Amino acid sequence: MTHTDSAPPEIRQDIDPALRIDGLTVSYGGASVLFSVDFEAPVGSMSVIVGPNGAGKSTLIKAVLGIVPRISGDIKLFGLPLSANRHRVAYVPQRASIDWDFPACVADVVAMGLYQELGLLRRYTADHRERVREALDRVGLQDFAQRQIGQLSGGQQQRVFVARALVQNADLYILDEPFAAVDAATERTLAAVLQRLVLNGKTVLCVHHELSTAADYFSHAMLLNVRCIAYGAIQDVFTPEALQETYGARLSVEQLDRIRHSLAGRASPS
Amino acid sequence: MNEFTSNLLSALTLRAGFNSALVCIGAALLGIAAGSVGTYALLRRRSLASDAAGHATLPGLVIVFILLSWLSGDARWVPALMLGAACSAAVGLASVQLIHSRSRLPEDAAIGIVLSVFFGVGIVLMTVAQNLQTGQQAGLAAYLLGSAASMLRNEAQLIAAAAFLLSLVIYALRRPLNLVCFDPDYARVQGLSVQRMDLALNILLLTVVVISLKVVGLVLSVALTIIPAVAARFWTDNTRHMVTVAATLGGAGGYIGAALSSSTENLPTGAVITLTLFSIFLASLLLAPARGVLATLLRHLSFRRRVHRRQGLLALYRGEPIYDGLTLKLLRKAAWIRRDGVATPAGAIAAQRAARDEQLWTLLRKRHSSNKLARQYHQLVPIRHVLSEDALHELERELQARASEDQGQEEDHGRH
Repeated sequence: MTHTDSAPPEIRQDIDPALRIDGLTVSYGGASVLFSVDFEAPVGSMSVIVGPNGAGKSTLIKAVLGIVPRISGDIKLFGLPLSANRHRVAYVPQRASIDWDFPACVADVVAMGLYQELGLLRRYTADHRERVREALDRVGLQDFAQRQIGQLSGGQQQRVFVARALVQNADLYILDEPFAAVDAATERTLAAVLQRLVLNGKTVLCVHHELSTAADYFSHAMLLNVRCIAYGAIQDVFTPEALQETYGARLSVEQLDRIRHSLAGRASPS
Repeated sequence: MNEFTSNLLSALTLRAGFNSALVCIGAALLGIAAGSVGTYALLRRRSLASDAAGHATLPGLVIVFILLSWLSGDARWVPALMLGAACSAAVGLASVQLIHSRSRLPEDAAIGIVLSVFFGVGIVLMTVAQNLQTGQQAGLAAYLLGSAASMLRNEAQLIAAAAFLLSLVIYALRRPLNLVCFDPDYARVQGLSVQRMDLALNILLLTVVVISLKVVGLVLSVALTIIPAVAARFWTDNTRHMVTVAATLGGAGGYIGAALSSSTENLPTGAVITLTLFSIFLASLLLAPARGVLATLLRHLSFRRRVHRRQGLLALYRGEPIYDGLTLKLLRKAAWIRRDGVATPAGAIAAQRAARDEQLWTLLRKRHSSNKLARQYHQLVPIRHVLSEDALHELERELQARASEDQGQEEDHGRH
């Protein structure tokens, strides 16, 4: 474990972290998918979970969100268990996880993010409609509110999911592969949306498949391969040794160079 | 007018006697409740669970029947029979859940096991019941395929009350049901218990099945929940509307089916309602405007013709030869080309216009790139339908200016 304390100045250490994981273990059948994972995402950080295929990245966030059960471990969101802080967490699942032929339009799906406020019977007011419109505006889908979701491109579907998280007005945003198989325009839009959230004091945690671009977007990182190899500020975590330990022989020299280069690019202006 | 049609007409207008009217209204209310519950069952991919529930009612029904005839001699006390049916259907659904969650078997396999075993047990028990000395076994057989003709006033009232209650519950649970159907993981993160919602949906399905026993029978009760919902899917892309449409189609199917079966002797109500619902489904499949088969086919054919016409005109404009049979046929039909393939004066004008439209589109898309414009362009919408007259004039002026600029440059180039 190479946890370091050299966080950027805007991160406050005196308050509870947005997410703290202690000794999380999840198993399917007899084998651990995650083993004794520790992690901390400070408030206002933009964190990324990276690791090879089968490292348990999606399982980790599903365990954090109570979608898959855990064998052991403790999870605190802003110092409290999930059940007490549900309204402060927004989840963006993988786009491929649902049937897009479902009878709903874009605005219907985004309005699902309001469920915790609306409950069973509270009225869906003009104010709610306005918030849905605004969320769509932020991801650049304002013209698509009434479109059937099956007619959207992959990138647009991803934006709908992000808009559904935005409308919730949460403090911690957890995204599962938000940039997977989307067009370059969507990746730019979404990265800008997430960066703006962080500027407004929100916390973002993503699973990200592309190791070489992780350093472009994120301030904090966790290297995961069933066990947590390292976590903390990204420039401290992305050391050649730790990356090699995470990916084994799968990491090419070119990839390492590219990461070193983009980390150097981050360091120079500041 | 023959006897059947006059019977049917009086049944449809509720003038065929008290009992027939009772059956028609009961079946309609049942269809409404089943249609709305069935929509969520379909969206949650649990349609077949209602088939399992239907078949699993039989053992409970027969056991209560045997107990009643031992205890009181009158084995047709409806509330007790329905309670027995509900209990054994609940055991059936719980078994499906148990098999599915405790083994790695898929749910449809679990449904297959439960459905056949419970039905088998029920049939064996029925043989036992046949040997009892009550003389009321015919009443039991009516629950297999439905026998609405023998419906009593209090049975119709029970259906009405249950249908009303079901509609209220569906309305109250519409948001969580919607969330769980669309994305169960997300629903869980929002604090919903997916298990509890599935249980609620199971109870709703079970209630529909139990109140439908007398009308359609346990074998065909699944038709009431599945068919209106799948038919409704053709008419709308919105879950809330889908519930309303399915309820309407289910109600209409129940009403018309019950009227049909009461107009002739010996037509089993359940089968007739099922066939009526199937006709509604078939009509929806073929005729629905957005998702129906005919509309899709017509849209495809008409777009194909537009593409061929446009390609043909652009080829004419560029003076390229046309070989495609359909293109030639369409251009000839519009009198744009002669038999020998040479453009007519009208064809030349149309070709010019098509080329101009294409140029204007190219220019417009260079200036504004929006998804909406791109879609309209790929749908071959003429540009004058997209822009206001002023905007179009401005665009045309710009095109003119660019063309003369290009010409000027070319002349400059030639001079040097």
